Amino acid sequence: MWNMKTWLAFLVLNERERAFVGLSPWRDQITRWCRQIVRSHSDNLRDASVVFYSRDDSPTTERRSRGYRPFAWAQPLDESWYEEAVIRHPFEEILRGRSSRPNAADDRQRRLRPSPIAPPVGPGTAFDEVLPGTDQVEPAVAAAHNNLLTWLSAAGAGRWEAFLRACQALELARDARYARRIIRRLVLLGHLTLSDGGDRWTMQPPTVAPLAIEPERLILRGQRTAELLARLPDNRDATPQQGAPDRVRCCELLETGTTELVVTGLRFRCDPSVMDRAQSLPDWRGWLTSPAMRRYDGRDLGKFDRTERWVSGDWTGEPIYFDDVEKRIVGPTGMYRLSRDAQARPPVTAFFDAERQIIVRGDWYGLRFLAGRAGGEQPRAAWDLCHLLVPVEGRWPLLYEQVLVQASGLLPGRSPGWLCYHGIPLELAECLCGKLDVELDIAASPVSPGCERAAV
Amino acid sequence: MASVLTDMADGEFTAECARWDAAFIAHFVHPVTRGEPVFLSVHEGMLDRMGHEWGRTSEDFLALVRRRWVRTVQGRRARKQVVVGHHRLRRPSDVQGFVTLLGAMVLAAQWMETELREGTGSQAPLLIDEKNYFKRLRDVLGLELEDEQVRPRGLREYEDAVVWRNWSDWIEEGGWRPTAHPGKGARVHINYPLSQTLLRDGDRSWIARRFWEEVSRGALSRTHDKEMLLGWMLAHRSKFPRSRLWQILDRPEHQLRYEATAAALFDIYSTVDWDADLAEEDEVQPAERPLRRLTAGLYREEDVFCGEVSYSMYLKQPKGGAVGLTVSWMGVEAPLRPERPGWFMPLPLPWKHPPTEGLSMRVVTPDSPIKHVIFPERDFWLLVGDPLAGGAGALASWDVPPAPGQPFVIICRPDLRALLDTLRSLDSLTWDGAPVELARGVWLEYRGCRIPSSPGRVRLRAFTPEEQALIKAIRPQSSGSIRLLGGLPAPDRQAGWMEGCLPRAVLEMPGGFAEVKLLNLQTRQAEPIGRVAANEPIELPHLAPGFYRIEAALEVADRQRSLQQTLSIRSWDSLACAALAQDAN
Repeated sequence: MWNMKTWLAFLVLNERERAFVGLSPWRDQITRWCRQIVRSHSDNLRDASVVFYSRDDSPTTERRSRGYRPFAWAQPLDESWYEEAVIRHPFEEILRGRSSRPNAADDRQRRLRPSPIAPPVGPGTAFDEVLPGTDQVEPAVAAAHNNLLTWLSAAGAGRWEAFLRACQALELARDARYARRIIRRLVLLGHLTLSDGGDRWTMQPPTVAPLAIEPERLILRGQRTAELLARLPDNRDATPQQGAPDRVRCCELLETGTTELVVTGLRFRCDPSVMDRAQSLPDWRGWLTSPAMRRYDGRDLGKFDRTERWVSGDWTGEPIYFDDVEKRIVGPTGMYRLSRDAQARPPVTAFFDAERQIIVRGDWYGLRFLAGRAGGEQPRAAWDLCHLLVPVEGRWPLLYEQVLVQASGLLPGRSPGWLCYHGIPLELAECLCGKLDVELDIAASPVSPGCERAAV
Repeated sequence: MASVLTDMADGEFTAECARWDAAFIAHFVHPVTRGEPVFLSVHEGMLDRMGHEWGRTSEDFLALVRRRWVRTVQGRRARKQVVVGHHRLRRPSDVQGFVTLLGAMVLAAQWMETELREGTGSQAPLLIDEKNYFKRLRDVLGLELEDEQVRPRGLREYEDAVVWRNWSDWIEEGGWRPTAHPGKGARVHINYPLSQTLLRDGDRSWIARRFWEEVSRGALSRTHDKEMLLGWMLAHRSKFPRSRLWQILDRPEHQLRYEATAAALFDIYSTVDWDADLAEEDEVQPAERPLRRLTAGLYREEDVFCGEVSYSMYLKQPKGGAVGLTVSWMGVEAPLRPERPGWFMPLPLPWKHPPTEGLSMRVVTPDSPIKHVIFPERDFWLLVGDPLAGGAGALASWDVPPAPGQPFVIICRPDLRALLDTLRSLDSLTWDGAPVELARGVWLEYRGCRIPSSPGRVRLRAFTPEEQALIKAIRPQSSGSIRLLGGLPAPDRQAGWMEGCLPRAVLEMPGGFAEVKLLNLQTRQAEPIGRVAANEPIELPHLAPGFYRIEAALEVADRQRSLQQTLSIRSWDSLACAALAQDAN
């Protein structure tokens, strides 16, 4: 079930100075961060207080504006925030409860580097240590997702329509819109691949790959049946996750360069580490012009009745067209929706690069990412404690997001504004952000030096 | 020379019997995919091949059945009689111990059907009746005619029919399609073994040689598909004077046997090496022939962006699979990669239309017995929606007829235009817009074709054989059927529906009602579903994995009619990983 509240806390030092502690959908988490701060600096906080705020974050139909932030760092909180508690020295309510792990905190401090710029949306430590709702997965839905993966494994490959039919029969999707989300998740998790036109899928063979931060643990991807699972070692475990098949892990240390692993007579392909994969990816400009992006002939634009450009979260921009005299496509660079009136076909989304004069198709978020770049947006992300936070509105192209998801085998956690990818080493985050020209902030978590300075 | 089985010690003979039983089941039943028909087609060639493994022949089989199923009964005069012991059939699976008796009956039917093969051949009337059949059965079992009774002693209470019924039940229980059925009139009981006889090794060898001769002299094309080959054989039946062949092909109403024989004929055609010399091939000791050619179908898809239609060749994988085949055509080599169980990925064609004539492409894979891929020269193509996608998506020549109301595409030669117009005027077919000319009018493409749930009556005899072929392809079931719609079909070759994702059943017939029930083929328990109207979808109850039969007793004035449809429910645990293209990435 959706967590309806968002929590934040400020450390109020005096009438003029306050330090932001953190933002989270879980109050316990905020409390834990506060506990770490007051324990470390109790002598300097005799006049300070910690103020907890909450806000109702129930889903609404209201559309959020571009560049939406839950609050502004330097401004007073707006009316939607409710003051829940003010806790003064000696902070008993905060210090009661589970003890923290000082060694782990020390370790984290050593690995963090201060950010040269202010982190986006405060510290961006929002979803620390949270798996994507694994305790909220309905068993029947989890079983249906696992059955879907079994069915796809037995089919091997097929068309999009067969996938849609399977999702509908398993009551996982009412229509194509929902089924598209499911197939995207399966691609993210590395279970299957899509053709460049998105009309065919192919299962990956049974594959194992090391976790990014625990390389002795392997994640199982690709084809999976009951018989295959039964033949895996006993040290395997399965983690249910919302909207996707279980994550299955087992322990086995892979030698570098191993390409195949045989377990009880079954052959598993061994994928390289996600770090190697990330390094082998092209940057986003190379991706745009790569053969993986299917190109279309501009003359086919005439077959569509409407072309609309994506501007500020809506299809309100001017159209493009093919100029028969000039033999070129006319219109600004951006993401477009191409629709036909006469035929019952869904609209087609494509990206037009005016400079290169190419129209490409790809995953929706990838095209939106390109459109954002074309519009001059500077994408940002924040990293903290092996979690990478990416704004929902700036979701990465599938090719790059795959690496993030496959680092842990888990889909990202999500809040109204953020996606949280788990188990991401800093090196991986830096590598991918470099490929996408994303500005990476090492988040000012409660234990980060930046936050410490603010607290003092 | 007497068989070693004649004087074998009892214990040893019992073990020998068990070995033959197991060999029969392993030969005739286990290789058949669930849902497919099982024929107990016993003949000498097959017995020799099967027994060769442990040094036995068809003569040993005769010795076995004569010792096992015949006893000498002492009385005023010692006499031999058949001892079936059918009281030992407590459940259908017990019939596995009776399979050699069934085999003996089929062998007798084979002998009866072939007795007039030589000499006057098919011109002479073939006497197929009980008297003739039991004469042959006496020969097989080593019995003598003792009195005026047609049936030998031991079978006069129709014990043989009891065994056949158990055989059918056991086959059905295992998820296969039984093919042994009683006949009508004088054939009511002898039809059981008769329904099992298919082509023998000798027949296959002889037919292969006939095909080779006709191709060598240019009378038979190398690029026929199954329907065209059958059509050609029907038009040239005098070239195939084999009474047994026409016993089957002239009775398309015996659908399973007819289809199995048609498939066997096309298998023979596809295995003949046209460049070899078959003139001297031994009919008695026929050579084992591997599959030489794959025959392609047609695949049609539309680009979502530009709406452009493209065509590809669509190839079914041969039984047992074929890995690593590469086809060379017009200087381009294309590997055949698996698409889904049973099918290869479509091979795109360089044109915006289907090939205008038959094509033969070379397989360049070294050491592959498959040498060519054939695109047949057809008069029409029927392209239906993907059965795994519920009829949506790309259209192809999948092995399923179009469902009423579901759109499909007909691509045909212009000669068939008048026929399609006629069918439309008879309310048997509709389509969207005007037909599209392809390849400068060599083909006509009819888009958005649909057949109504209650199509108008069409008198087949009023049309030419080519036209009849198209009509039959569009509406193969003229007398009603039970169609299964929706649900989630199993994606592998075993077919069936996945547990928890059952289809709905529809009684496809012009109108009226039927009393419908569901029979569990394992427990034989029937669950009534109720009185159901024609063409109304029926929701099935929750069913555990297993095999079932939907039975509909039709309410037709003055006569009883029934429709049946078997239903296999698959457990999720029964699925295995499909083979993937090696370079899938």
